[in-house]
This record gives sequence, structure tokens and C-alpha cells, in this order.
Amino acid sequence: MAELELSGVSKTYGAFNALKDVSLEIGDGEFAVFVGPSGCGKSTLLRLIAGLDPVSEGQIAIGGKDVTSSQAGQRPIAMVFQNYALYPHMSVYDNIAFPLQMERRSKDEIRAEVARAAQIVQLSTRLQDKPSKLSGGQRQRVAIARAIVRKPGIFLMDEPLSNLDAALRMEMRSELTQLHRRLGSTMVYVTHDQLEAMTMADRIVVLNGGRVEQVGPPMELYHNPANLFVAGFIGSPPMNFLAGTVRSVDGATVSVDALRIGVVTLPFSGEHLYAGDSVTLGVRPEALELGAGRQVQFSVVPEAVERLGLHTIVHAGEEGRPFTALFNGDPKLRAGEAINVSVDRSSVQVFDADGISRSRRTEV
Amino acid sequence: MSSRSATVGPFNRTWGAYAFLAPALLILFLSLLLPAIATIGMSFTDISFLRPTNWVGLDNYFRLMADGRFQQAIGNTIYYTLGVTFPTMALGLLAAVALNRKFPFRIVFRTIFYLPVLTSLIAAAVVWVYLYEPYSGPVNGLFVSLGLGPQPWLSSPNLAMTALIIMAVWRDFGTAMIIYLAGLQDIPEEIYEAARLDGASKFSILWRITVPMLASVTFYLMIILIVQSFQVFGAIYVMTGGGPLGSTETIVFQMYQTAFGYTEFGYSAAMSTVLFFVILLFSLVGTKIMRRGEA
Amino acid sequence: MSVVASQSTPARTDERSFSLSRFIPLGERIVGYGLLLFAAFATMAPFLWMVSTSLKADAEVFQFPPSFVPQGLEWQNYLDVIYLPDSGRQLVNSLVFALGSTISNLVFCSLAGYALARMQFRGKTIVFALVVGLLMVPAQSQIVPVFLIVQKIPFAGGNDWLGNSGTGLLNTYWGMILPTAATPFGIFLMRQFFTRIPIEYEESARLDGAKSFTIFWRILLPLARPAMAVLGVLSFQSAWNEFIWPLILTNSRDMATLQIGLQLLQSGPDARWNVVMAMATLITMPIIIVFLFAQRFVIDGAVTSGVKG
Repeated sequence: MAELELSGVSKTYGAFNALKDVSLEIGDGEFAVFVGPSGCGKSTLLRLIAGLDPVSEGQIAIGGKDVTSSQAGQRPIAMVFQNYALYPHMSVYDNIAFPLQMERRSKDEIRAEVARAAQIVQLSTRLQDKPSKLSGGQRQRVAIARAIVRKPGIFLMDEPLSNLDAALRMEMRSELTQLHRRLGSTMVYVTHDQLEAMTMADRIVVLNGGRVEQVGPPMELYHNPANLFVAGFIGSPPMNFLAGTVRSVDGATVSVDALRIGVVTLPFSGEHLYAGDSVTLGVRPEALELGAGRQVQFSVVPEAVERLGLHTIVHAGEEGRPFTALFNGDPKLRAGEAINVSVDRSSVQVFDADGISRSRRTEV
Repeated sequence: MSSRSATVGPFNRTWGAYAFLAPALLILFLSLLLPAIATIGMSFTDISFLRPTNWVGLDNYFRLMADGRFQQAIGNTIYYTLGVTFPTMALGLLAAVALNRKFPFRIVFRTIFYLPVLTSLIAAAVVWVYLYEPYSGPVNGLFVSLGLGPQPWLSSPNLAMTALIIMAVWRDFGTAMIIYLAGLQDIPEEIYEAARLDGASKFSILWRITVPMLASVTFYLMIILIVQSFQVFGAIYVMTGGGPLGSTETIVFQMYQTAFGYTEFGYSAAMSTVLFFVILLFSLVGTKIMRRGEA
Repeated sequence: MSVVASQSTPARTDERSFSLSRFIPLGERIVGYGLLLFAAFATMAPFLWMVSTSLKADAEVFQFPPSFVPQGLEWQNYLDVIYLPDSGRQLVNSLVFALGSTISNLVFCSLAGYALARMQFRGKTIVFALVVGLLMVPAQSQIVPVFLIVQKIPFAGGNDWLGNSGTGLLNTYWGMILPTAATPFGIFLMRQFFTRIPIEYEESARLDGAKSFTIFWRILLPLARPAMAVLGVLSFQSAWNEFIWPLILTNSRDMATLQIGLQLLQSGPDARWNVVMAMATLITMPIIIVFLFAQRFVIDGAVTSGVKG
């Protein structure tokens, strides 16, 4: 059963359409991540689910119950804010106890619940401190504990890691994943960072311009992006795009004449593609190999080489069009000296003039 | 952020908001809005509460234009306002610049300069009446010991206004200092550092960097001081009673006398209305400048 | 942007210029200190004369030129003030007026400021524009009509429903406090402060099921303590120091405040400068003491919330 069900949800602010007809189902116990560039509507969507803003159109159901017109405090959700929103004048204990006090629970019950939540987030010793005495990671945990005590059907998290430094962010990422496993509850997590989405999500919802671009597990989005936007957004460094023209389509292969690569025959059925169509080929930087070992070969001139030890990133943009390649290890390369690279035919993706992927394998 | 705060209340909380606002708005209505409207209304009548009231149209205003005493009051008010505003700002700026760097006892100095602001009008007035006392007052004591003759300060038509201005500057420059200090703290230290590296002298830093960067603060301060000085009343009531020979009679003082002394409430309201619009004009200009400074 | 950092607003002066003083030559520093000391002394002079005169014996007051340091310490002057027939009454009146005005400002301005900062309601823009507009209404020029309004409050002081035939709230504490019970400045100050509190506190509380008044009372009011301190001190100071309004409103000795008492004492037929100065010292002290304790709040707060808005 879907824990969270959005049907035809839209949100307008005056003339601005923040969200357009979003329909989505998130299953019980699922870790769903909303990802997209800033202004894509992901935080707005979260606020609609929380009940902080009313929807302009559509329905929201949680646990099978329509909550579209319920107020914020009456929905079975808890939220962790980007800046945590810990009440600075209250101790950690009172912060965690606040939602329970609002439910008018008994003192003993509150004490037990707070203790339990504090133990889960490993803050039992800091209960009497004010939030200002805690480190960023600890504040984060208080905010999580405050959400836990509500025993919500859904946890909502709005970029909860964006205020932490890189090292702590990595640590908290795995902690949140473990917490999710331990609590087994549904989580909806908003981030602009595709890395967070890839590492944490059961399912990713990619949003852009107020629309859902694609929904699916991380590897599905990585290998089979539905369109140019998702292809460019998921993965780092981002996918290379090469403009091209369809030469011929024969039902089993598509032949494309593309920039840099020249004519290449790709193993796709080429439905909806016709000779003469403008297309864009997508090649992931990490799919490229140094040398001529793969089927599609071409040469590029590196203009900058970044060596990270584990791998090496080569920037070889031309005429303002970026192009990146990522090689394992530390191959001997010099900026300005042309190199040969190659890629498997099946790793090249094709997007039509509208940006829709025409190389998706539906059987995955 | 701002677009979000505008959408806080998705559900109709209008009545709750009115309940939060009602007491304060009722008080503002009774103490400011209704009086302002009433004043304008009364200025077209000869209301005195002693005899029946008549509608007199613009008569009060025609009378004001021909009233030599009122013109003298306007002159006195402008003289007082100019006399207070500019020295107050200059002293406030100097004090602020001096106290803007960190050094021992800085807070002590700031507190001392601010003390006169805290003093009640009456306490200040009473003390200054004593200081200006012609026969045993310390000011004349100082004058005599410097070899200057004693002066009849508050009882001389030539000196009384000056004496009042000196006291007002003493009371107000602390306010100017505090506002300037706040303005100074908004100037990034890097700008001073850059100027020092460029070889600017202390004076040219003050004149070419600090003063121009404080322009909007200065203007705002000037408006506050002008608006406040235009309404001077208490000090005059206590220290000179408008005298000697009407030399310290200001607009609000005359307004008060006309209403409560001569029970000509309608005529007094006309004076008040004129003052009201003059002050409103200054306030609006000031607000506009403030806004522009913020943008 | 960390929440805690945005709450405590450390004065930026603290980091700056400590090292600068090392570069300033000694001579210049001495001259600088000298000038400052002179200015400080000149500013303090009226206070020093006030205290000095308040401790002089009657005869010494009339010496010319006057002596700055009193020959003896005539504490009797202070006792004379305290034993004045009306001074106890005046103290009570001043306290009732100042505390009444302070408390009502804290309550009414914070409620209204919160509504304007954070609540959604029809007419919000108009109400806010009105408050800002009223900031500019010159209060001093309104004393006459305010007097008339206070006199004509219906059903008060023997008034009928039209506000006639009685004295209304004249000569009452209610009348004194009413016009000062909320100010556009106070509402504006609180509104500005509430606006700057991150909205997430409130949203979080709403998600936890808290209602409007609970949010206001348990979350926002405690967070607004610095602004409340500023408003409280400024309201107290302005009511305690107020002279003209109580003077016009009251005509009985029973309702006179300390400020009126001081003026009566000074203008009275047998005014003695030393006793007048003793009273001036006594009524100035409370405000200075309040200020010394609340100085951080008042100076930093009044400037940041009031002036820079």
C-alpha cells in the first residue's frame, strides 16, 4: 500500500507555477529522495506534504487517508528542517519533548519517549544542554530525535545535511541510512545534491521546473535516464552531450553522425527516430577508456588534467561545449597532447530533439 | 525566504490576527489617529468649549497668515531647530568616530556621553536653570573666573534662545552618537585598511570615506532632529515660559498657550495643523531617503 | 546560516581595531585621551553640579562664584525631599504610570508586532502602512486633542454614552496610561524583530501541533527577549521622564508625578536650590541605574531594531 499518494498536485504563487500536476506514490517504508536544481519545486512539494502550504490543486493522501485539507499539526508526519529549527531557549530535552507536550501526553510518558529517542540518536548525555552548546552534527541529531518522538507515518527532511561540513555530511549520510533501516519508516528527503540522492535513496524523484522528470531507483536513473535533464543531472562529472544527425534507422540499429565521434552505429531499435532527425548523443565520462579498446573510437585534446589518485579527470571542451573523460588510475597524459579514447556502442545514449531518451532499455 | 513567510498561514487565521492587533490599534486610534483628524477638523471652527461652536472655514488660517506673533514663533522655531540640529550632529559624529575603535574605558565614555539622553526633561531643565542662574550659577561663575562679565542668560531676549539651544545639544548629541556608531559599524574594516594602504591620512579617511559612507545615516538623523526640534515645548515651558519678550516662544508653545491659556482651541488647532503637515513632509522625505539607502 | 549564530548578534566592533592602537603614536594617544576626558567632563558637568549643589548647606548655595566641591555633606537636603508632604504620593503615581505604561506596551506591542510579522489576514498591508504612517505623526502637537479625547471617553468619570457631562479619564491613572499604552514605534520594533526570527521555528511548532497562541507564548516570546528588554526599558524611561502629558491631564495634587513635583518644587515660592537638586538627583538615578544594567540591550537593541529597521 502506498504510504504517500500525490495525485495531480499543483501549486501556484500568483502567476508562478511552482508545481505542475505532480502525481506520485511512495510505498510504506521507502526512502524517497526529491532531487533537482534550486527552484525546481522540491522544497515546495515537501511543504505541501507537511501541510505548511495549501495545495492549489490535487490531493494528498497519507496512509490511505486524504489529508489535503488537514492542517500542519494534524498530519501523521514529522519534519527535519534545513537549519534544524531547534528552539534556542529550550534545552535538548525540552526540544525533543515539545511535540509530546503539544499532544498533552503525561509527564512519565514524555520522559520515557524522550529517553528512547535520545538513545537512538546517541544524545542521552546532552539532554540538559541548550542547542547552542552542541556541534552541528549533534544539533542535527536533536532535530531527528524531535521527529522520532512523534512516531510519524512519514519523516520529511529538507536538505538536512546542507549545513554540515563535507566529512560530517558523509558520516551523517550513512547514519541516516542506518536510522531508516532501524525505524523502518517512510522517509521523504529533499536535496539538491545528486550524490546524496544516489547514496541514500531507495527511489529518486527528479524534479525540474515544477515537473517530475523521472522516478526510479538510483541505478535505473544512472543507466537509463528518461531524458537529457536527468542524464545531465545524475552522475558526476556530468554526462557529455554531442550533437548529431540521424543517418539511417533499420529497426535494430541507428546510425548517427555526431560531433567529434563521426558516424557511429548504435544498437537501438530507433523507434520514433527518422533519418535526418537532430539528436543528442550522451556519453558518460567514466564510460570512456583510454586507447582504442572499445568499439567507438575518437580523439580529443585535453586542455586540463585533474589527477585525483584513484582516477584522472580530463577536460577537453571544444568551442564552448564541455567534454570530460574520467580514467582509472593515473595514466600518463599532458594537456595539449591529443589522446585516443573509445567507448562501447551500447554505452552511448540517444536523445531526440525534444530531449527524450530513445535508447532506454525497458526490460530493466 | 520572503515569499515563504508570505504564505505562512494557509488556513484562515484572520480573526485570530485581529484579536492580536485590536488592543494596540484601539490605543493608536485614540492617541494618534483620531487626534490628528480631530485637529484638522477643529481648525475649521472657533471651538472653545465656552460658547457655541461655529464653522469658520479657513478663517483661522487667514488669521495665522496675518498673525505677527505666530510668524515670530515660526522664526524662533526655525532658529532653534537649526541651532540644535547641526551642532548636535557634528558633536555626535565626533564622539562616534572617537569611540569607534576599541580602547580601554571606551564603554565608560560612551555611557557618559549618553547620560544626558536619559535625563528627564524636567531634571535637565531644572539643573540648567540653576547653571544659568545669573547671581550664583556656575556658568557665570566660569565666565567671571575667565575674566568675562556675568550674563543674564535666560532673562535676556538675546541670549535666552542660545541658552536653550546649548542645553538641547547637550541632551541630544548622545542620540546622534549612538546612531552614528551604528552606521560606522556597517562600514567594512577592509575599506579603511585599503585606504590606509593607499596612503590616506586620518583626516582624509574621515572626510573622504567615513563621512560620505554615513550620508544616509546623517540625513536620517537630520530629519529626526529637525522633527523633534520643531516640536520643542517642555524645556521652554519650564525654563523661560516663552519669554523674555516672546524671544523663546515656539510654535508648540504658542499652540499650548492658545488652547489652554486663551481657550481658543480652534485657532490652536490651525497652528497644530500647519505644524503637522510641515513635520509630515520632513518625515516623508526622511523615510524616502532611508528606503533609498537600504535598497 | 546556522540558527544559533543568527540569534546571537555579536557586536562586530569586538574583532576590529584592537591591533590598531599599537600603531597610534603615544603622543597622539595622550592628546586623544585628553580631548575625550575633557568632553566627558563637560558632558558630566551638569550632573556633577547637580550632585554637588544637592549636598550644600543653604548658605553655601548663594556663594559667588559657586564652589564646585561642597564644604560639607548636607544629607538633610535629601531627607527634606523625602519628607515633602507629596513626595510619597508622587513616587507612587510615577511608578504606577511608568510600570502601567511599560507592561501595556510589552503586551500590546508584542501581540500586534507578531500579528504583523507572521500572521496572514485581510488588510495586513493597510494596517502596517497605518502603523508606519503613525510613526510620523508628531506626538507633541497632538496634546490638545488627546486631552479632549481622554476627557470624552464614554461612561468614564461621570460621562454619558456620548462622553459628555463628566471628566472622563482626566485625573486618573487610566487616562495617564492610555495614550502611552502602545506606540507605533513599539509595534514596529517588535514586528521587525519577529520578522527576523527564522520562520522554521514556527513551522516546526505548527507541525508538532501547536496553536497560534502557544507558538507565540512558548516559542516566539522567549526568543524575543532582547527586543522586549529594549521596549521595556525605553517605555519605562519615557513614561518615568514624561512631564507634559501628566501635567496637562491632571490638575489635582494627588495625581502629580515626581516630574511635576520637581517642577512645582523649583517654581515654588520658597525653592531652595540644594533641595531642588537633591530631588533632581533622586529622580534621575533610577533611570541611570536601569540603563547601566540594560545598556547592552538598550544601545545595541535600540539602534539595530529601531534605527536600521
